[in-house]
Amino acid sequence: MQISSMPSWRLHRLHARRLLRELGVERGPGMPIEVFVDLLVDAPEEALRLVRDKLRVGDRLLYLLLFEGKLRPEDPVARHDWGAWRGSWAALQAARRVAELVAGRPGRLLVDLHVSLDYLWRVGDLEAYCRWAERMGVAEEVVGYVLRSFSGGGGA
Amino acid sequence: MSLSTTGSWLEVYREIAGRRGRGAEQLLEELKARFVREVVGSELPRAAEWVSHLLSAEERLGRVLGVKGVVYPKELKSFLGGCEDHLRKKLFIYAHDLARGRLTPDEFLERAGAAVRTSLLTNNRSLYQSWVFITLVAHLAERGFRLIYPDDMYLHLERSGRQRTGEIPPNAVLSDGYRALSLFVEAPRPVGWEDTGDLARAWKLYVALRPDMLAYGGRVASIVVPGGDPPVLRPDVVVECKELDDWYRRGRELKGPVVGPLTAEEWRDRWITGLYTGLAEVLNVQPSEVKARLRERRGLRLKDPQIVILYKRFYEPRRMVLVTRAPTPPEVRRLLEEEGVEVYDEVGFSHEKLEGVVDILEEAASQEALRADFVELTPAAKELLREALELLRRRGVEEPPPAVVERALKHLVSSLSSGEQPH
Repeated sequence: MQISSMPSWRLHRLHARRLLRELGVERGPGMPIEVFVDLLVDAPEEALRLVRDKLRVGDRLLYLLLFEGKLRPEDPVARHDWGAWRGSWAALQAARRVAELVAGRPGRLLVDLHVSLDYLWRVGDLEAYCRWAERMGVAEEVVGYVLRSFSGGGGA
Repeated sequence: MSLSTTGSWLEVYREIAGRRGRGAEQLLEELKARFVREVVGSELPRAAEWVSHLLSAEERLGRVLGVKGVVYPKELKSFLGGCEDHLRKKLFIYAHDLARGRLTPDEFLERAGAAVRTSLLTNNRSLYQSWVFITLVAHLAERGFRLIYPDDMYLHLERSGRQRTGEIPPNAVLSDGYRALSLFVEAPRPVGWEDTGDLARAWKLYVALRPDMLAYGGRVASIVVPGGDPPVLRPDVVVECKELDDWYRRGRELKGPVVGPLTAEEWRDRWITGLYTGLAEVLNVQPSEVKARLRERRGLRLKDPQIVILYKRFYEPRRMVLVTRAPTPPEVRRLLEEEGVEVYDEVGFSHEKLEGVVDILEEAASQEALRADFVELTPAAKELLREALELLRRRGVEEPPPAVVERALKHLVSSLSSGEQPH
């Protein structure tokens, strides 16, 4: 499989909803998790503005690092893709923490799914994906979903 | 540093390799000694000078505070006992692995070299922080403060095992009879826990930022705020110390903000995995990839001046102080002062240059809520008090010692007021 462009948000949301259904996660009130996660990964400034108060109360240290300019880490936090491409585990982990604070474990899993689909679309090699996923600590449920969906030419 | 430029420890290594293990023990000691000298030898005279500054500060503390000594953390104590010997001990496993052929000379140079350099850096940091702490306490003693906790007459700098009961007690509480100040070195640290619920509440303490010193006005028995964020009480003063010339160029990784809480079961699982990994390495069986994988996962990287600002923003102390041994560049100083950090730079090992920091601590010392001021009694005074209590008891008067002291002082004041000469 070799697909060069990045998946659209429509496709991200399709897979996110499928994974959530598989996990038995029910839709809650307010903004759907998958919509928030797409924003968080691809337009972090906008997503973070929406959850500023929640983060301030939920994790003060993470809040300071994400919102205070003077305290911004050297890592690519709060930037498009959160350094997932460059193998920045810490920055990606920060995105997972934000999603987890906002939407619990499903939020964290959807961040993994989003960056997984991006990786797969760009690299197009499931073996390389598995190595990258292990290095980046992608959740087993997500790796399993990706392998089920895309091995043998399957997928959306 | 490459093998071609390193010297004489390699000669000893070749001799050991030639002997195939027979009579190698003495040679291994020689190899370790040469290795330490060749890797960090140029830095050892400075380390020895710093040790002598610390021991002088300890001696002064004994004189002005009347304590019997200082209890240091285990590593630092060993370092103070002899820097070179301490660094040699760090080579124990690496040198054996080298002799048994489990490490090549190149691998030995890389790993053992890193271990020695890290140990020297860590001990220097710990040493300077201890010097600042001891010197501040000595200043306070010169201003009339006495150690009221702990009561074993030692100043404790270590915290090992002191948090098992789920609390974080102070390293020292000082009082001048009217005001008290509680000091905590390298707190917060993890407290004891028994199940997932406990661990969830204690988790923030595992990943918390850990400034060198926290100070609170009054007698504070524990600073833990269970489940709080921050997980400790808001300090009156935070003191951070920097011993390196170029501290402001350095950085550090923070894993705290990116590591989620573990359950007690996950903790135990990781603990067992760690044991297994360690055992596998010792037995030279299939080396686990787990450790290597975890090592790859670095935290978020911040520059040291950012970390100082982060302490201030996170803990929100009433005063935040930075003590640096070397000069701090004006632009770094400005950055910190704009954030409300009070910078005392180029302090070196000068007792006098910490006066300003002591003023801040003294201002933070707060009125004792408990009005049971202490007075030091000479052995003769103690005996007189015992006699007075006994005589009063015989006359049917049961009074506590403070009341008897008050009675005696009233009597003295009344005698002096009536013109009697003291004798």
